Amino acid sequence: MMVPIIRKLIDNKKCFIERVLPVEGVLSVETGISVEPFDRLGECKFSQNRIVFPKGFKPSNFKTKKRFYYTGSLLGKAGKQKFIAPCDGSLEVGNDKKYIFQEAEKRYPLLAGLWGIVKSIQKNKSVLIETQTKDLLMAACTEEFVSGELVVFPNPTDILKKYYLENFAKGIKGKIIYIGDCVGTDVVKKAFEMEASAVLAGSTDVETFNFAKSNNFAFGLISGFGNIKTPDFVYKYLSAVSYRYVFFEGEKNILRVPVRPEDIKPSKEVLPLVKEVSVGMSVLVLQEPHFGLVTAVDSVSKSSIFVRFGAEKNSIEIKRPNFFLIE
Amino acid sequence: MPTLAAYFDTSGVSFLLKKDEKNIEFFKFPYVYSKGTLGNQCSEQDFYQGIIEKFLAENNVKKSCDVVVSGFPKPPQIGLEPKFSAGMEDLVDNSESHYPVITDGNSLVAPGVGNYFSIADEEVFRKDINSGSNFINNLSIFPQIISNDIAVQGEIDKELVEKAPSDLVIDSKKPVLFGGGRFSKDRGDDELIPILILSMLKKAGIYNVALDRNNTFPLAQSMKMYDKSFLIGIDEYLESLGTFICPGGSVECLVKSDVGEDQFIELEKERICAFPLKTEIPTKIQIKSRALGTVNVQTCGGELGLVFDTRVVRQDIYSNVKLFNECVKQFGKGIKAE
Repeated sequence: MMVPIIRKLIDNKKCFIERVLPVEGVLSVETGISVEPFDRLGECKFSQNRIVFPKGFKPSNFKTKKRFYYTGSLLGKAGKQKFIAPCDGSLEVGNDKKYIFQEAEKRYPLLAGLWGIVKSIQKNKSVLIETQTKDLLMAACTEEFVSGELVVFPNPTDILKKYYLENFAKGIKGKIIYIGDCVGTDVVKKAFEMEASAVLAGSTDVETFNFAKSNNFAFGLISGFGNIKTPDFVYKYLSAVSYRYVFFEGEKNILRVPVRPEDIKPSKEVLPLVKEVSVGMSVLVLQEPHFGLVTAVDSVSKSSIFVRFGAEKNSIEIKRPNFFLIE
Repeated sequence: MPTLAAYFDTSGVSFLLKKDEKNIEFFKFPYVYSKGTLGNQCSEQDFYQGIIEKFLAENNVKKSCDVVVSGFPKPPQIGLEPKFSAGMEDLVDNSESHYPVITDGNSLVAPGVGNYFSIADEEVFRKDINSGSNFINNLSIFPQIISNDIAVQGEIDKELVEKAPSDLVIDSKKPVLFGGGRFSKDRGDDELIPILILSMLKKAGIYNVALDRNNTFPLAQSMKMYDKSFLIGIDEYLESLGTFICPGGSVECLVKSDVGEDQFIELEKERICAFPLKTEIPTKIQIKSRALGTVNVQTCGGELGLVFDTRVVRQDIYSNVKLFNECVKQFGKGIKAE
């Protein structure tokens, strides 16, 4: 009985990742040089934050169309609510009479975020780097492309997830956060509001997924829909590469984790896509009530396999195609 | 030279291997490519090329053999240069011996219907209708999986019937062949099949119904369209389900037997029931109803035998819980008895 093999984590010996400045700036690398994650590729200056004020906002001491405010000074009021400048920046009024506060331009350094060799440069804008990665397969995800520092929560309980977001990783803006085995709408909403780059989880419900999709928010599921655990080996790997800069490629269902060249196995062997099922192989079961669990094959019949879960004495029949081999 | 016909459904792949004129075999591989399962290893094209090459190697056939492909709704890229390629609409429009109704469970193609539709295109991610099982949403990741919950499958079938084109009027003049991924999977919920078929038969009539469990139709039809000299009696590979009698109201039926006594069946309107009949020699039956008049037909029956559906207004069976449960009980017995 031939069955395809899911490989959640695979070595990608050669891929290209483009590092792009948000606006035109100055690049300080040349083609052919080697780079490491904290190497600076270049920098640019741009306003990194903006606030759009609600209707009814009345600015304080605002006489022209644009005015500079220092951090901590009063920007204005909307009803009884006071707005204080969170950073140095300018308040502007548009033709639609909307007030917008733009943070003053700041230096933005572009770091490599990976180990590789610069292959080409687009003047003042981007650098293409040849690198090697571990590619984590996401069962489902929104089709966004983002990158950021990976933060891995220790599979917290439902109550703790929001608390962790607010307190555990202070300033989650721009980060890619693995939240836990299963995540709900309130937590994803919170992460979205706090401007996380992306959220990863083992599983979720359809409303949460649709929320991310409709807000163009990068959201990846490692196992699927429902309440399905992240496989242990995946969680362990993510924990091991926590705080690394990673790339969420939603269109390809991949989270690319840059690795050192020596972390890639040197094997030239082409991995088979399908294999004959035999006793002892690991399988991903896709049949209720064990949907999404990984276990080993106990015995094989003509068109099904028998497996056991945990300490259960009796084996359970899983018919093909309700399982995959998993390596 | 050997010829391989490959048919790609949205949930599985089927093969017909013709090594020579007398040696024809069918095979099934009930998996398909999806980005959520294989996206980090290979492209769809690489996967199907790998599968075909592996299959040929296992059957000691050279890679250079002729390959004919078909698909639902269209064949995917397979990384090999096929000699002939056809989508399902072309296949059904060229069918002479049968009236094919092909569905993968989400979409449907039949002769002349013209419009291919897909529930999945409209809304891939939706709330599971009946439960918290998330089965339907997980189908977008694992398209090949089969639900072991009859209620979930019933809801999927119901949605298919609701979305089916209004101009789908199945022709009773030819034997009707139901095929595609919905019917070719080894599901274990076969009692739902006659319910789905009855829901699609919108017009009063007498239908000879067969199931295509091996995707014989698309494989053989694509072979025939590629090689006009290819001869195959596909009836041999189909499963005859029986004669479906939809008289549009109450009915009287006389089953004439050459062996035992003749049997008279009288049914009130709004009934659905099956009478076992499976013979080698065609049995004569005479049917009388207001909509059909008096009709004489010959049938060998099939797995279910004679299936009567005397509903006047052919409304949805799925929403009528009592009727649905009766059908499940009755057809379950009929099919499992074999």
